Amino acid sequence: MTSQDALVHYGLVKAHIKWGVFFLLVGLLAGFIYSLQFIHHYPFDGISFLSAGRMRLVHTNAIAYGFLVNGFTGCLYYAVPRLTGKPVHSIKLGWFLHIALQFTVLATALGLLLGKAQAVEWGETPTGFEPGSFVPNWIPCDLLVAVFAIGLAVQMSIPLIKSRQKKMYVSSWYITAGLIWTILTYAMGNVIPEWFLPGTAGAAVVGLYIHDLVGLFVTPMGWGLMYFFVPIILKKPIWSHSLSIIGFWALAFFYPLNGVHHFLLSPIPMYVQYGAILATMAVEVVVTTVVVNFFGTLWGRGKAVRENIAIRWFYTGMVMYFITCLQCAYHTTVGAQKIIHFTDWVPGHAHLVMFGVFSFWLIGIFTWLWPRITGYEWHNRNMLFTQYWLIIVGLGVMFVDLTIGGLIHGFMQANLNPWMDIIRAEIPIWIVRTFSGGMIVVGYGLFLYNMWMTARGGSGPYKEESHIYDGPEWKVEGSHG
Amino acid sequence: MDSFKSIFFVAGLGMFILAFIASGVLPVMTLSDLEYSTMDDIAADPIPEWRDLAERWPEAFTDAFGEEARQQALQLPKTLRESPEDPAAVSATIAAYKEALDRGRDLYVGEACWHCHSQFIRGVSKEEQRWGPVAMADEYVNALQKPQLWGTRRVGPDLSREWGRHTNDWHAAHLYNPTATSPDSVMPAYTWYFRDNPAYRPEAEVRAEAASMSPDDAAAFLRKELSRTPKEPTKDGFALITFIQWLGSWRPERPWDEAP
Repeated sequence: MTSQDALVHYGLVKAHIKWGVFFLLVGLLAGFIYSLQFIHHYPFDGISFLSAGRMRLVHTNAIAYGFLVNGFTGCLYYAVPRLTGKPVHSIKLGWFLHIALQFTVLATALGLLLGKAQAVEWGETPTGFEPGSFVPNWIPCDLLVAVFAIGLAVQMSIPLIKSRQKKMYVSSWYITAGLIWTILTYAMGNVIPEWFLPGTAGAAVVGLYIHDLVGLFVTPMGWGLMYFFVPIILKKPIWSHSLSIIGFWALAFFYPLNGVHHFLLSPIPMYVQYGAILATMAVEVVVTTVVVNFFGTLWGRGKAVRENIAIRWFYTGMVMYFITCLQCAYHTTVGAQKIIHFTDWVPGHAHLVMFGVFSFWLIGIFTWLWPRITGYEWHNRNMLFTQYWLIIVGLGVMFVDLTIGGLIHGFMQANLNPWMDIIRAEIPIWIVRTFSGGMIVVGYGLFLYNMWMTARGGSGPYKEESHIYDGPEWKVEGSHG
Repeated sequence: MDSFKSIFFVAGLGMFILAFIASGVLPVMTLSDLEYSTMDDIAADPIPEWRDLAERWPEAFTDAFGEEARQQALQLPKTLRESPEDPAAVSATIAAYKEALDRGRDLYVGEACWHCHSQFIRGVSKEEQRWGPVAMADEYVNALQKPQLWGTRRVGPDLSREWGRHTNDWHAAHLYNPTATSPDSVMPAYTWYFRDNPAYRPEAEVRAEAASMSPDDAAAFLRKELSRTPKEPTKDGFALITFIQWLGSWRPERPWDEAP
């Protein structure tokens, strides 16, 4: 055990990861069940609290708040003390926040099934009040999420401030900015459009929220963790510090300006929409610098993609990230919007980024951390690779399928085909979608089984030296300066 | 540049506020002249479909909103945007209408209708021909648009020009069983917004009873009995139909007919 290990409270890391993987299972299953509605085989017809619309809300919210928040929090409890050389603020607060978060997510899921949703995409967490008033109608989940975000910021900011490093690690930049962005974004999206700004002006803020939750919470946390784990596993520094600087500051500048691109060709003033389109295109340039930087880091260690499952998840995610952002750069143009907006193209895109990038990264981090947390080797290493292929093929098929579906829908709509003909044309697309979703669920089920068996003893006690491609065979390279 | 302070204040706070000004405050300023309508403004002139609901399912309507609201609903004008002659005389039904709109919106949100039905018409993809006039900013500045329900996906058609397109009967049948009105529809059935109609009797039984009546009596009797539906909306059902029927009723144009 190194001195850094002593700084990390492994109980919290493990607890957050456990709940995170549980909620991902809930989210994936909810998505799979929801997809059955589209092929006329919904199993819970006629049961109000399990109806398909509500299931969709559970699908996205379980993944956003149950899986991603838990997953990132667990990883931060591992990474931040190592980055700063200081323990997190308080273990007691950590456990309080941990329990509060699980309570919040369960209350959210229950609230959504009881029809208490809030009309903000990615922010359906019940406000707990009758819309626009202060008459309570449910547990105030919004408030609890905000309390959690502030508590997490306190936990992580204090070691970041205390460490007194003149120069912070790149990971710490992303984490610092991500913590404050999360609080601001959440407060903005869950208060302003509900109580202060109706209609079109509020829509601009809602657009900002939809985008910022992904762009300013999930993205900085994800990249922060990549800047932390990739050099550790590859045992070499990030390729270019200059590119890291450009990547971070350009992201901080352009990303928040994108928001309105979720409501293009809407009544929002056109100059705001054009601004958002330009900023979205600029993001692609930023993303390229970051992705190039990481592939530069991989240079000379390419074997790791084949041999090391964590690195494979990470770099697969980065390729997906590049594809998603490339899509953003052209599908926000007005010409592309005519066709693809409102169609299945958009869910295809969203699955690629939320699942293909950030969930892949978290799954990769979990595969690397789990033996180190539990103290046991993986129960079945080959199963990790089987699971990888099931999930990647499942997602790939889903993405291509939904993209084609989106084009069919978009062009049929533009050609004034009767609406029901569009639905009939899409049903085969949705059948394929359900099967690809099934592959993802099965792949993920294998992962959970493997985690479970590993925690119960796995294939023997953890041996650092057995991890060849993240072990001592690679000499640590010096910095490029 | 890479100290905690500069990251926290410049990247964290600074960039966020900059973006909030650029894509939040600026549009708010541009749109600040638009007039805001309260719930009372919206509910002042109930849509004719509200009156029709009271006529169509009198018992269920009375159970949901009270006999007074039903009686007053029958005195409302039969055309859109025609104000009641004496608002004080129909205050009970206007209060019920307001309650129904408010509740209907909550249900529309809670059932995630807005995730499959958009509520704004774009000026592209011939949407004007399919649904009606392009959306304007001023349509959405009212108490039922907090937040707006524009949506980002269209599995079903846009609903912002829904008023006048379908009857209450159609909506009730469609909500109860979407494939009955739109074969192959992938919309979930919302059966829990309907209850058994205690007054409903099978057609054969009604006709048998009418056989013993005088022709005039029988005609009136049959008209009344055969118009009953086996199911009728609950209070929430009325609220949901009222809200959906209200969508687009603010536009002066007559509705566009979608291709079948």
